[in-house]
Amino acid sequence: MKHRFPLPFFFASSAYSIPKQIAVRVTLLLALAYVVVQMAMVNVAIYNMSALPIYLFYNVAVSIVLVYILTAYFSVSVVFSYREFGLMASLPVKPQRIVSAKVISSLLLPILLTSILQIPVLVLLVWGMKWAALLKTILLIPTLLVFTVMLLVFLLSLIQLWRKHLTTMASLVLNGVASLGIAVCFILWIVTSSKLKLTTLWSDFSMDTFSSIVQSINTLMDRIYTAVGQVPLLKQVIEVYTSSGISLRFLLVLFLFWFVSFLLYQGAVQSLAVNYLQNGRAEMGSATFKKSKAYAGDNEWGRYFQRERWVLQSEPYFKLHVLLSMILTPVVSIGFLLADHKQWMPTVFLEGGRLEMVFAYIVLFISCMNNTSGTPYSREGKYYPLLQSLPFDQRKVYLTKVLFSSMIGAISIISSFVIFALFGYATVHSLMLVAMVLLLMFSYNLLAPLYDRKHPLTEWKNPSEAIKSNPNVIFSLLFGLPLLLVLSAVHFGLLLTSLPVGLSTGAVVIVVVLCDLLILKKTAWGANEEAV
Amino acid sequence: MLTISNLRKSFGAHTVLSGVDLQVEKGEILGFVGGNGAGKTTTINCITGILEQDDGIVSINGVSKSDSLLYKKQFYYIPDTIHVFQNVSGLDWIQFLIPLYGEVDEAKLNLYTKRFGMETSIHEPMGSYSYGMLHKMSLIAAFTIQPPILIMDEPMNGLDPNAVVTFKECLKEYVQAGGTVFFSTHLLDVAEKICNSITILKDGQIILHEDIEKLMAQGSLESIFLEKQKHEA
Repeated sequence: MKHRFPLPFFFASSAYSIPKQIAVRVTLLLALAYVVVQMAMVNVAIYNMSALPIYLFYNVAVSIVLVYILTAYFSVSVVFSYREFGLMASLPVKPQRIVSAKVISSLLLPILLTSILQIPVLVLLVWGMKWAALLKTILLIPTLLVFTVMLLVFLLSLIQLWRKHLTTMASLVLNGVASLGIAVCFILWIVTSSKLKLTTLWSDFSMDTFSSIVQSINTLMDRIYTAVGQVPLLKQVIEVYTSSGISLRFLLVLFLFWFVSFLLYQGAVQSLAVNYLQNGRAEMGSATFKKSKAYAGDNEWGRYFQRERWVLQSEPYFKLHVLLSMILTPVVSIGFLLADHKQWMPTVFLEGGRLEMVFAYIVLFISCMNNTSGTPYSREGKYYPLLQSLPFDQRKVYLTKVLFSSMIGAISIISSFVIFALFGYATVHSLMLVAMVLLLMFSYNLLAPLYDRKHPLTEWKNPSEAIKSNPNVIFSLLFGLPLLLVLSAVHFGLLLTSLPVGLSTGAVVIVVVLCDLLILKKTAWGANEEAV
Repeated sequence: MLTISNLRKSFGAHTVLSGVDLQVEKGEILGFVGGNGAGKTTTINCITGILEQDDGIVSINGVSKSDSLLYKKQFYYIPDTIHVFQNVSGLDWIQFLIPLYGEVDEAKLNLYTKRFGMETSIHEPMGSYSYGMLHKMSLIAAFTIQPPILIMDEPMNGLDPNAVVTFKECLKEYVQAGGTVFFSTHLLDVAEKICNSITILKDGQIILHEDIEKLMAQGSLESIFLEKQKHEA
């Protein structure tokens, strides 16, 4: 055992490094504390609102969803990345050992983070002296988390059998699509097996009084719990977990999950190890480089855009992120509009002409949160010294980054509104909303990179560290979101007045234009001073 | 030309540069030598803007580092490890760089490309270049741009013998045309032959700055370097 452990720790420590900047560390801790506090509040609310079985069921559901998302996200940078290949290939270590270390290290962060969020649950169960439920939670939650991680890693590892025939970009896209597809299939399986009627799910949702809201949420949770309880296999797990006392059946379920998890682990290791060398060589891309087209004109802005394009093209992961930024908002828009079309949405949120506004703000927030604007300087990575030592006009560099991410955002926003029109919802007011959303997205893109501009994290080993795992993302949200939140609150607030809806949107558009001009003046001119 | 005054830089509690003062005159080829960890790269990084110094003044041709854009037009920097956009051809990259400094002189670009034997490979993506080819490509860019001062970190690493000869010729022509060179190296015999002045850095301080002719009168650069290191210790 002594000789087997260092390798997983090598992968874990190289994949999840603690940021060097104290401000970033503090922010990460605060963010984690915030999530724990929020989870604690939600837990207390559900614990008091519903019966213990329902509470335990939702705890399992949230934990599984969380660990699934984290694994889908982090597996790309640990298990299915071959960054270590150059270092490992020449060492006398079997591919199975390398791969098993990678798989084990991929478990660590998702399970650790999800487990931290169990603290409020355990405290509540101790507080309520629910000893059997407490013991079962301690035993079952880690089991289900490991099972979820191993199931996903195993299924995704099957793609790696054909990795050598795929480009890195295609492999990343396939991974993302598969992760999403597995989740969608699972939800569809629950919906079809339980005969859950989505149209009736929200039918009597009421927001008239506080107690009616509580009652509505309670009914909704109860309906979902009952429906999932009818699904074969899930039914057995829910029963043994939510029943009082610890039965032999519970222990058997535990054993079965661990056994299957072990098989999935072995399967994942084997399917990854079998082509490790070929896949590693393919990832290293030692064979050929496809020549990129270059801008040949004399326009200075053209050259700045050219450089930004080169940075985005330098990593397949960045290209995937751009692609996701463009398609995610239209995909969510289709989902939202379909849900409304099928009357699955609670009408209380959408009546009185609110649908357009709700849609506009969903489009705005999703396109901003998924945009490439938050960490464009960190993305430079090893090219960042070029940005510092070559005579670049830093104002133009900054504006190029803002415009580039705004163009990507604009594509996703405009296509979402085209879909909105195709569904037959468009009005003249929709055009005003498009303008408003585009302008708000631009102001977000102006503000979001400000922290990253001053403190870029360029020493990343894996491109995912430059984008989503980059703590600067939190700062980009802190810089960018407040303006959007304030203006959206003002906009919805105006709806409550007698002001016509078009006029209120017009007023918001004027305010956003003024904000954009002010922010542009303040931020763009600061770029050259910061570059000193 | 290049003026460095009281340059200080620390990383946390670790002081790397503790008051570097240096003056490099026009037409000078300055060899910047020192042991590992002496602070050579940190000094270069402070000069080129990659690092911000804690204290001190850096200026080129009277242009202060605070005038970022104009200051950076005064030099071209070739680092030891050259990071390139892998799918971009060498030619596209050079043609991207030159307009940042001034007009593109195609004839000059073609001339240097030919002299460094890169006529064919300059059209290939830079990801396919060897370490030496990347240095050649950077040298082509540097000599085509002809900045007032050329800053290089181990510029001869990876160059084949033909390229080393071409490099020395180009360097001589560049200096005759009014250029200035500041380069760090561990190759003392090369520094001895190319440079007209030497600066030795130790523990973040300059312990020697002298004309090469005066130094040569005292013995080989290698023996002087070793003696200085021992003496200062």
